[in-house]
Amino acid sequence: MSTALGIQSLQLHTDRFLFECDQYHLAAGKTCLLIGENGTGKTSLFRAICGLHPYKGKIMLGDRELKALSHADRACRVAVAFAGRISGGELTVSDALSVSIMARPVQVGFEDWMEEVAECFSLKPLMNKFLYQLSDGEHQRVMVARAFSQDTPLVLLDEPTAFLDYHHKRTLFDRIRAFALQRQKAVLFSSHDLEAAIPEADEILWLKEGKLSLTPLEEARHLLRNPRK
Amino acid sequence: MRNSRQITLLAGACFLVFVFQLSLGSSGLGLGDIWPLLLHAEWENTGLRILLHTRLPGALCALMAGAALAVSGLQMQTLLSNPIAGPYVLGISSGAGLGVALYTMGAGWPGADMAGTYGLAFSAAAGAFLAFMLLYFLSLRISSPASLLIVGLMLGGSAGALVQLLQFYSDAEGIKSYTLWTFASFKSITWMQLGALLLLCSLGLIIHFRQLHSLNALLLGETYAETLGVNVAEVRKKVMLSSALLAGGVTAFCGPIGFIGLAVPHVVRMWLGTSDHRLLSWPLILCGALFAGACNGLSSGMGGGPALPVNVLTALLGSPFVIWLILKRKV
Repeated sequence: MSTALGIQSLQLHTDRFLFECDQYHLAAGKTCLLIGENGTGKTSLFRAICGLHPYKGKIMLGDRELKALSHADRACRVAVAFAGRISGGELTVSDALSVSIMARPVQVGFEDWMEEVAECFSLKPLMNKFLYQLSDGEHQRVMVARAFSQDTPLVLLDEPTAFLDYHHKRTLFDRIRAFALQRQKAVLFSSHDLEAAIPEADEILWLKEGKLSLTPLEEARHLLRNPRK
Repeated sequence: MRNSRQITLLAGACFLVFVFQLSLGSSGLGLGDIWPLLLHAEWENTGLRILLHTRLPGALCALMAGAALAVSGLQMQTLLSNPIAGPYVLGISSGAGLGVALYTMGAGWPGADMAGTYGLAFSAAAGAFLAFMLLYFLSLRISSPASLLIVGLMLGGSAGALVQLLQFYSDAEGIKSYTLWTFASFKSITWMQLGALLLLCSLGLIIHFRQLHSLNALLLGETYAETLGVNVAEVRKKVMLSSALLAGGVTAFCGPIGFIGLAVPHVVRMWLGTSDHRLLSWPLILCGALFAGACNGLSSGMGGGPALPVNVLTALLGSPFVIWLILKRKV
């Protein structure tokens, strides 16, 4: 099975030390949940993997090291949806998804792909709306779909369900996982809602006390039962 | 193309506006007189001279200027992710204004009187260019679009203050020349100048059409644009250059024309229901040309005597629209 993301002796800093990670691999088709308290560096990790944040160590996207990739190469290998609304929003849902065509080496077939992504995330009725007209929840769904529309082997989702009610959370997690499995995408997503997120994850990365490490599902479930450990 | 019907419609409308412009003017030459004039082609005829040397270049200039300003406005709205941005937010027109103020009011330029409209165009172009270069070098050290916008406005403010200082010390004649320039006009352009404007606009548009995908990505914000493979710093330079060529060229030859660059992109965006620059650009070019052409025609036809200032019309039609836009955009 091919690896979409590989991390080796990674160290992240902002103005202070954030965390380090010895070794981690995320395989195609797998969904990994990233947990950790506020300010531990979850978003910085996402930014680093997109090439937006400096780091020490190695981040492999497929067979290549991130630093060796051009802007365009990166855009073919990793896509991201950050938490929060984008400012402006002077574009329609359809515009937001179709921007991704520029990240594709081959443009043929993009329309069909966009159609499929929109279908999967139930965006068909929203396609001609401007983003500023959407509710927070709809906006978030659009940004998740936008990340998938880039058709990259690795998709990063930072708090994809922060604004959703319980029902929509479960539905969206469900869609994300099904899509990842069916299209063999590797998905790394963060969430504070462990109850809804843990059942949808194949593996769990825990950012704690300056360490990023895999946590057995059993331990995570335990964490769920005793949140204040 | 998804919007070919609209493009055909707009192109037809542009042609009508072109003819409309030719048929209006202070000399009383009407639509019915044009055809016989062209048919007989007596080169010494005053009517034909007016048509060929005033109205025709004026009409073409209006169409070109409208298109250029609309594209430049769209670029700034996207680049600065600000719907209220226009072609002049980066201080292009203020720089041009300062150039013209120095030319008309800065006493004692040798040969200033003889240079005439060329002198005006040159001083405006030089001012616009210097303002752009200043902002360009500042922009290399500025990362956020909001700061860039503020710096642009501040530069504009300083230039405005210098113009006022010049006005304070200037004689009535100088102030009048300067004020006439700020009224803006499509009519004072010569064929030579029209050629120069065409060159500047073509360069600006070529750069614009090469950045369509990147501009689309910028709609999502600079961070997402980076993750979509856009080298934001690089694209920002190119778009600023393109915008300056378009807006600076127009300002040099026609004066600071307000509102077209701000209002037209919004109209087209709402009409087509998309912000995709690939779909927007051609209708926008035609709409800008249409609006400027109509304003030029109306300004010639309405006053009875000499043509009204173009800015009177664009602002009178444009500013209620901008207010409406702000009221409508509740988010």
